[in-house]
Amino acid sequence: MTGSKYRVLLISGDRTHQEGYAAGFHADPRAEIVAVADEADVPDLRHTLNKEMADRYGVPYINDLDEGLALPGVDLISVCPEIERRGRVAVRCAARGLPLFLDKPLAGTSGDIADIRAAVNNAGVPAQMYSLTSTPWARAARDVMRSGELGDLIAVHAEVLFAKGRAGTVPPGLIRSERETPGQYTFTEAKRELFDLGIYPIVLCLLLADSPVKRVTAHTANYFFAEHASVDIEDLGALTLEFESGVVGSAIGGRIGFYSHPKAGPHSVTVVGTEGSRTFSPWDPHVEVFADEPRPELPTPHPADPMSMWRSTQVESGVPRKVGWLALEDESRLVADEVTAFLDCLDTGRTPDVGVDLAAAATEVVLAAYRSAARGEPVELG
Amino acid sequence: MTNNSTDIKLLSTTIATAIESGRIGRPMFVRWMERVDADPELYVAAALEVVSGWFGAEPVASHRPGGSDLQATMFARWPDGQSAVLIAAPAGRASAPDLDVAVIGARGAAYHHA
Repeated sequence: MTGSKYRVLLISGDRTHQEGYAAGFHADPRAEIVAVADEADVPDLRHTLNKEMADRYGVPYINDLDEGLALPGVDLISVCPEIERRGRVAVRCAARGLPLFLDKPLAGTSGDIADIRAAVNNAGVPAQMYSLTSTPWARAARDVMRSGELGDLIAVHAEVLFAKGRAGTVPPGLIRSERETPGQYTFTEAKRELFDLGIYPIVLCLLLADSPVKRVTAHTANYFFAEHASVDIEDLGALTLEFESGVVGSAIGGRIGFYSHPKAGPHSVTVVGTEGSRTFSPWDPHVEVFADEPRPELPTPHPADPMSMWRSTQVESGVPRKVGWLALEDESRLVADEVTAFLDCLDTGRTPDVGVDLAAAATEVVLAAYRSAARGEPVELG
Repeated sequence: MTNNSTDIKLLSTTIATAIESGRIGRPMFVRWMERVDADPELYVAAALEVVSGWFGAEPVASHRPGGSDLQATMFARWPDGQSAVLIAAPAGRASAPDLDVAVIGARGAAYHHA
């Protein structure tokens, strides 16, 4: 750290996950956002959105990545460009020799994953890919597993489904065929949900199993949304994992619709041991409240974000909070907990839970899952 | 089959009623997580039968990843594209037998946990 605070350079701004990461860094008294930067040749809209974030935090926007990376006095970089250019940008950021907070998933191709992994390892810098491993429920699962209370781990199941968007719009009878190579990831209408949300349960499975993955069997589908169907990407993915240790895993990731869950969606991890099993979720336990009050209504979709992917557009369109269930766990710190955990690692010299090696392994599982879904059969890794 | 927490036949009928009412739209995906105190394979086989009833067909493909026979995990697909992950895990000393089911439909969902 060059001063009394970690001085944070943000790569890419609004309408990316950087919205949440920046808010997390801004809220932590140990960090200070000093600039937003990006590649010079990104579309005008990307420059505009980057500048909007810079203006919001009262910092300069540097529309040239080399200039941004040359900024003196920076202590860490939060890297969040679109998936398609993530490989080259993250590699350049790693070369700066500073700690990296990386958006998830790590990248969209095996080549980019390998490049980022090599660049980070060669630079010898701490890096953490955003995930949900710092949530209280994920920490509780790890604590129980480590305690030995459940005996030896034999299976792990994790699921992260987001209750967002207006479901029920998918064309009736649609049975989607997956492609072995995903191709484009970034669309205005929607995101690939196995990639974007499935990475969370996959990371949890890999972290808990602590073993290389041997085989992946997956299925992807268009079950809920016309937006996903219109650009031929999945809104739900499910897979099983076979680890070299013999542990079995299963993971589900997807977007199921605003009205399909009383809170943000089914989120949980189940640890199965030789002596028993336990499930951990942010919603368990919870308090249920029933009252003579209007139920939250999904507003007209934001034209720039019909699936409610970004914090800024959710606020602009007025997506309401659901208050029927009151979680005992603080659900507002989903992103902030991960940022806090990263800064804790920098403070103490501890290795982040989801460093670049685990991030690379988990993202490779996602890509293998697409191959499996396309072939309709298990896919070997390694 | 009874799980000690849930009469599976009653559960099956109740969720089928929710499906037939059209409230959740067409059932597309099921996650069945059951904590058991007997052979987990039997419970997953029973779960598959129940879920097939909700989907209205027999599965066209299924995969069992194997692993310890103290647990059973199955992934299955149905002819109209639906799918399910079915898991039976030992309750052990840590938990009592229970059942947690999520039936995700095209426009809504039904959950059971007991």
